[in-house]
Amino acid sequence: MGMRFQPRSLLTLLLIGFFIFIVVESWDMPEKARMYPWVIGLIALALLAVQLVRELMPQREEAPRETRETGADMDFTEEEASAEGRRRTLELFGWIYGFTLLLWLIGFYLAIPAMVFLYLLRYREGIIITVAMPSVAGLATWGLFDQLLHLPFPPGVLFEWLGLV
Amino acid sequence: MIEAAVEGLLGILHWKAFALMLVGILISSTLVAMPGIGSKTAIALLLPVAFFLNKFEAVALIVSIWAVSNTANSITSILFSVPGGGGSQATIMDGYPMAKKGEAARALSAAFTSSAIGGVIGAFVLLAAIPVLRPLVLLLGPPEFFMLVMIGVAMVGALSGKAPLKGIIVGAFGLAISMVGVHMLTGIYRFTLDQLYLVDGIKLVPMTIGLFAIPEMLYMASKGSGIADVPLGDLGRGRRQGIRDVFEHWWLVLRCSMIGVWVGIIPGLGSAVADWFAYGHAKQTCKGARETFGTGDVRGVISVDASTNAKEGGALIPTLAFGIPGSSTLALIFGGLVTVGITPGKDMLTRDLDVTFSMIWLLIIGSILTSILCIAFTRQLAMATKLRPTLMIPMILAMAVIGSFAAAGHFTDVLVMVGFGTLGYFMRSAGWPRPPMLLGLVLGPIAERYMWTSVQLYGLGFLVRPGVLVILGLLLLSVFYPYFQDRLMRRRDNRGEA
Repeated sequence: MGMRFQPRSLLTLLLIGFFIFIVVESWDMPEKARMYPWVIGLIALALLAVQLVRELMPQREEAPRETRETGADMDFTEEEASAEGRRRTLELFGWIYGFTLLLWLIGFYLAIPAMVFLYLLRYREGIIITVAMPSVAGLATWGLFDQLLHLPFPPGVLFEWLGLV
Repeated sequence: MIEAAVEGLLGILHWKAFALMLVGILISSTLVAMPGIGSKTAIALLLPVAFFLNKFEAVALIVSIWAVSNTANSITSILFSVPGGGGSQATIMDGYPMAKKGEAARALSAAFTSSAIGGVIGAFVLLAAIPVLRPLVLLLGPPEFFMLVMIGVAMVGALSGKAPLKGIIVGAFGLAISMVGVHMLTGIYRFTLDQLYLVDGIKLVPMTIGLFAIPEMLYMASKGSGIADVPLGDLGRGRRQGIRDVFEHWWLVLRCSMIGVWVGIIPGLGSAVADWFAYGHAKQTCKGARETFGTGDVRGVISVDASTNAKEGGALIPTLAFGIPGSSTLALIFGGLVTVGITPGKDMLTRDLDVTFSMIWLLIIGSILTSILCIAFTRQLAMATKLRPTLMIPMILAMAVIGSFAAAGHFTDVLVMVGFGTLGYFMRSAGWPRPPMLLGLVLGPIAERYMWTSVQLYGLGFLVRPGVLVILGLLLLSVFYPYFQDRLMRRRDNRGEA
């Protein structure tokens, strides 16, 4: 029975890298600061080694891969794993990263209503909703979070570059 | 003592104090329901008003905000899988799957009712504890506290039924993330990568929002329909069923409330721990819970909400006995109350006993009033699960970024939220449970502090103290119990097939 690398083991390898960093980085720290990272890091590395071996070893037919209980997390569904599901997921990732970039560039007051407007436009919602929802989002951002709660929203670097703030 | 209890009750039933309590409840229920805005923000907003009030009025306004915050926290957890605050993370585990099954009304009303009962139980325990406060907490030293915290971490095994090993590793990952920032004992920077932002460490709010809200949005987008997969059915009946569920599981409510009170008593632990402790306990002890928890079992919701609200009564115990605030929110509350002449510590058990009783009354009245208010709007809240994803996603995304930013006012928190959102998606797709990471992040600094104090005081000998050995036994039981039970079930199944 040979070992077989699966893409899902990438996360295990990333975690191994992370804990190696924790142990190595704390090497030169004083004892007080070093003790806890070592205890946690070394235990985690031992457990990760077991996990990696389990992932690489082929599964025996009769043994269930994991216990039969329900987990503490929601299962990844077939809809999500399908080609259409992955395409939609990828598109939403694009929206999330694009929105974050927009927040940085033009600030919260403009980016939030702009994102809501563009998203509704992309999915061809009715004109009333497409106009009303961004307006409500913009008003809530300004009225509730700025005027009432005084959240220090950054103005957006674009305006700083242009010398407008 | 009875005189002080009556005086405390009359103090908050005065029309002005009562009106201020209602204002506090309304503000808290509205603001706290928004992700990232916790009771601390609401209290901080209203603290300046307290300067102009007498002591009962100030207590009515400020304490009511705190007393009801855990109830409203569950709304977004159940409806959108976005935790409203520290104590509502575990509510997601079964509340959100219930919403997906069209049982949002049942989940919400069960959460609200359970929360009210938990709050009342917490208040009564506090009442009963007043004469015996000191010996209760002095029984335990740092080694026992350390082991108690480790039990919390060990719960990750029980919480990660499908993959206990992965659950424990993710818990350790959370503990490791909690090490980032200034080390409290030496003042040196650990794992900050020369980044100023990391000096304060990774914050719980953006991490929680990212880990839970982003993957659920992606799930919603990928399936292209609203949260509820099935018709909502009779919402009125769902609401009544949720209330009935709580009374049918009264023993679970009582047990989880006591867990909440106990977590509240231990300074430094908070709602974010109480919910997972209660959830883990319910999963280990309820009949068939190992198969049904995580798929929309109402007992998962009931256990969590009872414990988080009961915790508040417990958190008052160390505050009243030793002047040590049981949580950061209580520290903020007492910071405000000091300005109207109320000092935490033994004065609250002697000179200001009437104020102490007014706080206990507020916990009781506030919990009940808030639950009635929330239950009244359950129908409207449940309808939100039928909205199209094209309407929900942009609003949740906006709430997620504002919630992440609101916690500390750093734009980097938004990036952290997006980063953990991406990680959360890949964790889900590879079958790694996300909740243990939060538990690790919350418990990490507490565990390190108690561990180091124990080593300093007793060397490694702290591990063989009788109290520690008892707790260690419980810890091993919670780690290995799922394996034993699984093996037992498999053997029974094999025998059945044969």
